[in-house]
Amino acid sequence: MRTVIGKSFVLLLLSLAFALPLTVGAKKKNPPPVEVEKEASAPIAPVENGYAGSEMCQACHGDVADLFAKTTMGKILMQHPRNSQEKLGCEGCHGPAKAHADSGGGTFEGMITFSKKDTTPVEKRNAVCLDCHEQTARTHWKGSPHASRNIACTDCHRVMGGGFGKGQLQKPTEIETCGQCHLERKAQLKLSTHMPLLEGKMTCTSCHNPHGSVADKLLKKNTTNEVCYSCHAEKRGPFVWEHPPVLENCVNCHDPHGSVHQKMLKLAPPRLCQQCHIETRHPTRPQTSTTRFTFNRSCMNCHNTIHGSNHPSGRSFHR
Amino acid sequence: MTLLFLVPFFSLPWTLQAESSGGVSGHIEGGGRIFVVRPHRTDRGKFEEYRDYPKGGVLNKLFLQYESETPYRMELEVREPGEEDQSFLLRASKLGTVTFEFEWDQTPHVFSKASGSPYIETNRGVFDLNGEIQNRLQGAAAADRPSLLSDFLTPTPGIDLKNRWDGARFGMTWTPSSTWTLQSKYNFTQKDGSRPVGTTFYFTNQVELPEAIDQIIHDVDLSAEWNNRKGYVSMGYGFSAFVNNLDVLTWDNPLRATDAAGNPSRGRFVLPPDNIAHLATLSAGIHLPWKSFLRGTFSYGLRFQNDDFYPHTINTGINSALLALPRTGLQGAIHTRFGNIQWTGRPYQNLGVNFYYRIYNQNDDTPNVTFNGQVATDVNLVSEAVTRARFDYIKQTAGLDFSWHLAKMLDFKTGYEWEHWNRNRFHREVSTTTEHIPSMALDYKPYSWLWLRSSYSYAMHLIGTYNTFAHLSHTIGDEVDASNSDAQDVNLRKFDEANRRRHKGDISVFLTPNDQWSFTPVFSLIRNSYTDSTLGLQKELGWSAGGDVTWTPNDRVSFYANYMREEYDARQRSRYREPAAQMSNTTYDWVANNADIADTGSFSTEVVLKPKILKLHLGGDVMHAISRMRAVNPTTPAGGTAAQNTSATVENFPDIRDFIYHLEASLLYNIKERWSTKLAYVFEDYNTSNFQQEKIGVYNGGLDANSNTSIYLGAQIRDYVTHWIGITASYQFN
Repeated sequence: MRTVIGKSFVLLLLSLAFALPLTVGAKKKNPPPVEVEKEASAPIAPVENGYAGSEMCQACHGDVADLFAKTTMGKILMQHPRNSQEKLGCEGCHGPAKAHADSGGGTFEGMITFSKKDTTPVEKRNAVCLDCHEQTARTHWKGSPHASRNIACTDCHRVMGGGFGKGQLQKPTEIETCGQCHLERKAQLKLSTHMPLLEGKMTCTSCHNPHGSVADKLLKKNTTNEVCYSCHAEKRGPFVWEHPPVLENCVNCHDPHGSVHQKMLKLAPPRLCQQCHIETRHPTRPQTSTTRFTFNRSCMNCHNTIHGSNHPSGRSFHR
Repeated sequence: MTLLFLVPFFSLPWTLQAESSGGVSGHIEGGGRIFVVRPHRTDRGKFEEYRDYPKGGVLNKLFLQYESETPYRMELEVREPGEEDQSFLLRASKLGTVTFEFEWDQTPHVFSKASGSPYIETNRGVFDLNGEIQNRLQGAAAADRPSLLSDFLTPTPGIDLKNRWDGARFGMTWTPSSTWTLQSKYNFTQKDGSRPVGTTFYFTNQVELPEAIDQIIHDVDLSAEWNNRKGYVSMGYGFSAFVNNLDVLTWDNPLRATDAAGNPSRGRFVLPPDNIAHLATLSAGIHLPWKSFLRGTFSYGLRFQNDDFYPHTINTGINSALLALPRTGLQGAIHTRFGNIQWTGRPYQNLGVNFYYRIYNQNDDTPNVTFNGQVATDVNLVSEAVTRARFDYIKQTAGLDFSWHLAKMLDFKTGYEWEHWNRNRFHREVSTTTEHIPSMALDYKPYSWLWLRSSYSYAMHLIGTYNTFAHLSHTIGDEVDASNSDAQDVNLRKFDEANRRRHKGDISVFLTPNDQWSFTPVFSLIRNSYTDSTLGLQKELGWSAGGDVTWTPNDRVSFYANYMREEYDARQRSRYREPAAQMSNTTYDWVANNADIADTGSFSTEVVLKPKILKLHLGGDVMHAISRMRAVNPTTPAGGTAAQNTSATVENFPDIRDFIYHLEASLLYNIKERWSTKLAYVFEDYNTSNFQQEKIGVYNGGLDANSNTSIYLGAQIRDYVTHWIGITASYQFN
């Protein structure tokens, strides 16, 4: 424990070393907006070209503007815009609103409201967000399963404030946000053996990237096993003696979203193991419930290194 | 730890505050927890599985944020400091330009608190027994050993089986311009503690131990991305090192004090070896005509492992030239190559097209290694040369799908995916498998309050030649056929290498008739048929049905509830095979029908009793799960000896049941503008019935006569009931 505290102290000092220059930089009052190389795709629109200006929006939507001003995006757009599009403020996302303002809110022509009743195609709505956010984790949005099923950014994120966490999510947690559609997965997390998601130690995005990825199931790594190795690096090997179904896919035996069986196994051993092992003698014996082949850890009472063994005599995963 | 974070947080920004008009805001919440009923220490295995619930004073949360008119911000979030599951997050940023994060997080993992062991861990990973009992058992007649061991194990000192993961994470994102993003991340994970592990000396003498865990993982990720409106290019590098501070586990054999061939006094097994992984990634994408986007990604990975080999056995009574190690370590090297190319576009206004191709190649370049002899469980010399297997494979996936915007509120998607595996033909039974997966999806949104989503796919998994003896032949270097007692039955088709037909579908309805109500019923189904598997997994059927409902009749009342039923049924067929005469006795076939049924639900309601002053919250979760493992012999076993016929006869396993009830009620009272207090009551009831562990003790000779010289941990997961009352106060800064 003393070592851990010592290490954490060193880590803390490092963190401060990183943070200090940022904080010292804060002494500069109101630095000028960052100059950017690119021009925004939207034209720099003078107010008379269909744009009303954010002040006009705030005249009627003051409560929403106040809420938005507290968000990170609100602070950037309203206080520290970095480019011409961000300087448009509200209209940078919602589009020119002069007609809307002149009509006393009667028309939304040329605007995107992002509300549930907004008939603007989802792809067009999302394009507004992607105009600034199509980087890093969102690089693979186009063509992703969520994009192709018309999921809107605003289905999961609450842009105008009142959202939860760093991602301004629609619901207090990622589980609840993803669980709006993935109800079955949300339910699985409540089963008796589960990873510590409900305890707040993991989230859906610990393994998945909902914005798109290069892998199946929106996994953050190239394969299922690479995702699992992120935390379970001891199972990465290579080992002298490999167990092929383990090597190929952890979910051959485990259900990572939760299970009614120990170790998140898809089925309790020995039945799980007996689905593939029909050699001779004890693996094929149906067994009774009170033998050492069945109780406690069942097959793993003896075959303890079932994920792979590096022992010269570990061929049967006993050592 | 808490102070380490708090002191700099307060000192740094506040020195700047005088020069800018910023300030610190946030909130702090703390109080006490009084257990009306607290589970007994030995019953807290499940209760404290991933969390710490101490009694007395607790600081639940502290959140501090420094902001000013400048774009600089700093945040500190502390959760449950001083507890086993504490976490700290420090974030400093210049808005839109640089973000730096440091996080410290602890996660306990309790396996059981109702365990015991007579072993003393003299050094980490070294488990010694009282030498006297070893001498007595060695000298005793076989018939007397069980009672001697039973007496010795009564009583047994209790131990906790738990470990803790401590993680530190540094992350930095720098956006020097609107086109560049640079990211760096370092993760440090330390796992410390124990977990249960089974060991054995051949068949009759099992010893379960609290395996010592002392492991560290270092992960570094660096990436740079250039992205403008025409496309992007990104590069990334990841490094991961696993360091196990313990190489082996050794333990005394309770039945022997001295070594001899066939009778070891100690056992030893190798713990997971250190390993290193590198992964370099290059990705690029470009916008093309037809509103299309073409992107490609290539990754190259290397994994190395070369821990020193330990000798075949710790048993000094076994000596043979066959046990000479061929080299000092595995020299393990895995090369992975991953490629992905995707084109997605919209050639027509209402038609979207998406094509992708992926290839993943895992290539084991470890030099061949052959062991001329082995020692089975430190007991016996096995004079058989065995060669390590290399399980290389290539997995390819290609897909094409079309999305039609058929009408204003109707979207239809159809596609086809092809998945192909090439495995090392020398070691897996099937070298090639191909899966064809046509699919379709329909999304219908006729009104803003109704959204119907459905999908269906059919998958046809086809295999090449099934070579039952592939692995065995190339491992032991002999020609193997069905007469070999180590060989699998020729009628077996392992489920991942079997012909399979799959139907999979789901339907969801999102109903929001007004701002007060929302209702989301869902249903999903999956059915797998393993068409040619005479033995092995034959059928699977899984379905789930349930839904969410929310009701907010006014701004003072809100209600939420959900329920889900999941069922999974599987049928597998096996055959008891006893060499030499009963290897193919079809009356020894047995069929297991396994079923899991789980019901989960929760509700939550909030009632504002007095606006801005008093709020009542009620919530609860429930989980009922039953696992049934039934089995039957289609034909009464006959043809062998009476003992063999009995061994081939199946019985149903007792049902495994798990129930969890969680109920909480709280009253929030806002005393003043900044001060509030909360009174909470929590009830939790966990009830489990699992034949595999509920009767397990340290000595299990009474349960199984063949285990009467074995020592277990008796690691039970026990029921618990708890009631507690929490009183917390919170203060809001600014």
